[in-house]
Amino acid sequence: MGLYIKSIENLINEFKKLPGIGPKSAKRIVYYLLKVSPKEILRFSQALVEMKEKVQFCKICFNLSEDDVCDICRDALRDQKKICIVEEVGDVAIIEGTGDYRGLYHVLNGLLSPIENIGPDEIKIPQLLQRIKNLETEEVIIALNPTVEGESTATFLKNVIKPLEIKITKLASGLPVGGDIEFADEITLSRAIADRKEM
Amino acid sequence: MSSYRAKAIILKAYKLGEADKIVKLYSQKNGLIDAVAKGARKIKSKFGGRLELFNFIDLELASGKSLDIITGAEILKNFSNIPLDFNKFIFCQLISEIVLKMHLHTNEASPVLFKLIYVCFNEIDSLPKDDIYSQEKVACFFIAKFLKITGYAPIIENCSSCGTAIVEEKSGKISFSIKMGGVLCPICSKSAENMPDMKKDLNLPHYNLISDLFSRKFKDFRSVEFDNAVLENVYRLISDYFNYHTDCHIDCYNYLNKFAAVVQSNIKSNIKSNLN
Repeated sequence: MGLYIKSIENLINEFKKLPGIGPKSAKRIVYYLLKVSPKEILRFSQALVEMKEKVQFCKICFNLSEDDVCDICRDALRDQKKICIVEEVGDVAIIEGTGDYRGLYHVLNGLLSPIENIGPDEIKIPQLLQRIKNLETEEVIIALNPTVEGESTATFLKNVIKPLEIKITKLASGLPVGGDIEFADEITLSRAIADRKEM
Repeated sequence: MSSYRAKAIILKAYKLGEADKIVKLYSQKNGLIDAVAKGARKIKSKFGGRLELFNFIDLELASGKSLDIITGAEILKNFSNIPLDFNKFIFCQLISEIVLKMHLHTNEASPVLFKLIYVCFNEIDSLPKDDIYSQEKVACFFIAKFLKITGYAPIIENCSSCGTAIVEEKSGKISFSIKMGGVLCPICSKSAENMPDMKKDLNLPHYNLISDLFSRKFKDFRSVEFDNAVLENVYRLISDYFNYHTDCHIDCYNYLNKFAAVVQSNIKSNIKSNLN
């Protein structure tokens, strides 16, 4: 016989598969769930199943949605002439949280990585180009992470979008609000100097 | 937990957990290092942009069980032009992946390999934008020298089958066999005649370029002039050789064609049509 009863061991193994959860956390969660009422467990499991059944990718922007087309793409009040390109679905919520952007999105769901065989087709670049043409987009905002992989993908995007003769912008990079110049690294600081603004 | 310092180049970096980063480095004195940088992805992390891909950095590490922990980092050289040209990124990623996939023993230092990686990154970084052939030349040089350092270099001066010195055939061609591991003398070449995948016939310019790749130092090789079509063919041959003899499973030639060609498709197709 193992350390745990089979059904408990199975559940621990399932939780261990989740990101950021190790064996100890998995065990703690399972022991917590043992104390929870069957009604709540049922609600929890139903929520899981419902999420998996209902959530899909929006056919237009590849954001998460419960319908074929997401709320943002359906919203006629949004600026249809602007598309913001982000890496992950989570980034949409972060940008939406600022309340400063009212345009559309395009989620790549990854970055170009030739060595892992992730090419333009895998990150929906053909669909993006088609959208730009169909919507007669005026501006594309590239909001990818300021890492080498993110910037290489941004360079690639710039090269393929440029022939369409539309405005291409990129999120500014520089000093974080509340940070100390003393602790800024050379790359961040030199970008902050290069992208300085007239006051 | 002992701590140590290392000067290293970042070959690969990927996300771990909520805000951490795993970094794979090649260091001057310690060879390959796998390390974790805690909180490195946070906007206000003390590491900032120091742990970005391809940076040459001075590190302070604490030895850990499976991964060492990065406690401090300073930039020694930042190859800032690499992300500005997608092809440069492709070639640097190829170089990194070759080093990582060869399963070199960790903690086994090779200052020569370190210097080779640094020289190639530096050269790719300083090349003019969109100059894909000069970038390909550096990548080709890296693969050749990497094969030499790891002991897989082909035999160029003598027949790889019988050992006799190589002389040019009357037809002006020299046979090269990927499977046999180098060039073949006319007699050995004849015996392999009915096995087309066993040998390829090289013209003198191709042979000379291969010879230069394996024998010259980079500063001498940089000045060597050759036709782009010759480079293209030699790059393909070296890539096939690399793929056959090592267990990296990286098809360098097709990898390049699939991605770099997207932006540079016009240049490449022009060259190919001239070749045909």
